[in-house]
Amino acid sequence: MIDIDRGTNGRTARLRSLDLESQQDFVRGFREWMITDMDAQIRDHSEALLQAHGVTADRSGDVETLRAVFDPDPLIASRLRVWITNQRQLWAGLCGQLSRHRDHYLAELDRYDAMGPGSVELDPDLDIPDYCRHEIHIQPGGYVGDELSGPVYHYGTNSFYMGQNDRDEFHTMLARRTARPHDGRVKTIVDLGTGIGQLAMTLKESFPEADVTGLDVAGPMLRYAHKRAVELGLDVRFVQRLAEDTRLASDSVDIATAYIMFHEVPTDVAHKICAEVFRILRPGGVFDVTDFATGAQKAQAPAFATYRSWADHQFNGERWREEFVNCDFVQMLRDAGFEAELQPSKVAWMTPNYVARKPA
Amino acid sequence: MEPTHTKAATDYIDHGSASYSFLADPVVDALVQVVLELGAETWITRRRMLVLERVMETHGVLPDLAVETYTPTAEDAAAWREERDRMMRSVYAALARRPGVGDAAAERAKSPNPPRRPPLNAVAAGPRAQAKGASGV
Repeated sequence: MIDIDRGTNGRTARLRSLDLESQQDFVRGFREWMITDMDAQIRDHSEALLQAHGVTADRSGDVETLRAVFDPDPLIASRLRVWITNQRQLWAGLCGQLSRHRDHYLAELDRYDAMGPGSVELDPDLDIPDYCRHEIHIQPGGYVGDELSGPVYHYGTNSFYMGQNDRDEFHTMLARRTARPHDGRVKTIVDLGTGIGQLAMTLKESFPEADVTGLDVAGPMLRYAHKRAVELGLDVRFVQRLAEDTRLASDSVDIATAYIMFHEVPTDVAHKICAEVFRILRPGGVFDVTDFATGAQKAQAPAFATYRSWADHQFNGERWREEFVNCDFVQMLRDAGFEAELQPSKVAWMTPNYVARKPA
Repeated sequence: MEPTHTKAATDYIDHGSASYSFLADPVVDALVQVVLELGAETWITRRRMLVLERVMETHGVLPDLAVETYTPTAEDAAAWREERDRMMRSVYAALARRPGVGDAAAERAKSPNPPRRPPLNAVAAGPRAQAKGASGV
């Protein structure tokens, strides 16, 4: 497959092959059909199955009960089959192309490593915990195990964000709606689990006078984040560290953010991260978290959504998702010392928003 | 300076998604995967043809790399998305079919008076149409 410069969309380079672009377009189109037309049928079908099996509303949140009904059903099995195949197609197309032309992509990352504005600081001696080494979303190699995980993730998530990704539209919305300290002072921002840095970069654009740091355990993701930031002229510091051990000074941060990070870590680590963020935030600082519903809010989910959540954990590499959604994250934040509350999602179709403030 | 890229990645835990089988018959499970791959191949070809057609219309001849580097206009992108979505519905509708729902054969089997449906592509009845029908013409 050919691999050439095909220009940009103004913010992100176009995929370097027309056939790959078309393959990814197919993957996205199929996913959109699956979660709209197919799931409309699946939802009705799942409710009918539960009725036929005499499953009452009080049992419809129990995963084992749902699995007993849904696992043997051929239509639901088909839904799982096409979903995972679609996911594998997504990654296979991108990984295949980038791997075949890895010299180009790796040389690009090398070139940008030493460029500014901003910086990327890798730690080759960082002891990367096993919990970080899973293939999240069954992305081959996961975030830490593929030198090209950054561009693979970036283009792969076009399918997830459905038109709000490759100009960072979605993350721009998140950044603009980030909670601020009541005193309005924002000089230092840290984005935990920054990945390819989309939120860190859009936070810098929303708060241009602030020092913004994007922190993640995955070196390959950070290198790509830095490349994009340089291309966009954004002064962001990217550092390879653990969220539970940021090495940042106490009381030094005005806003900390974590976007869909917490459901990717075990709950014992989540507790440590909450404690660490409480330490580094200054009094009056705010911790803005976007992630899945937990506790009582999770119990309100329809039965098939509960089953899909389990399937996401079981088949889609969401190793820690079930552990997270079965905890009480608001209470976890309060146990760490925050004044915490759950707020409506910042974006209609997205996960809820937790706002936690360190007492002034 | 020695390249740094060899130092960023590390060992990972393989999820093993290649070995999943969801449907009772593993052959059927494999066929579903085949169908999705064929769908992707078909769309890749169709989309390239769309580009070719547009480029040939615009240029009259085919300059080097013109197809590969073609940037769709917003109108093209929107029209092609519609075409893509049509194909999704056409090719994959069978996967969303609920067993026993809207099954005319099952309805006929159950009832001595099976339901009647209006004719397809019928035109509005008028005097001339009625006369033709009466005469068998």
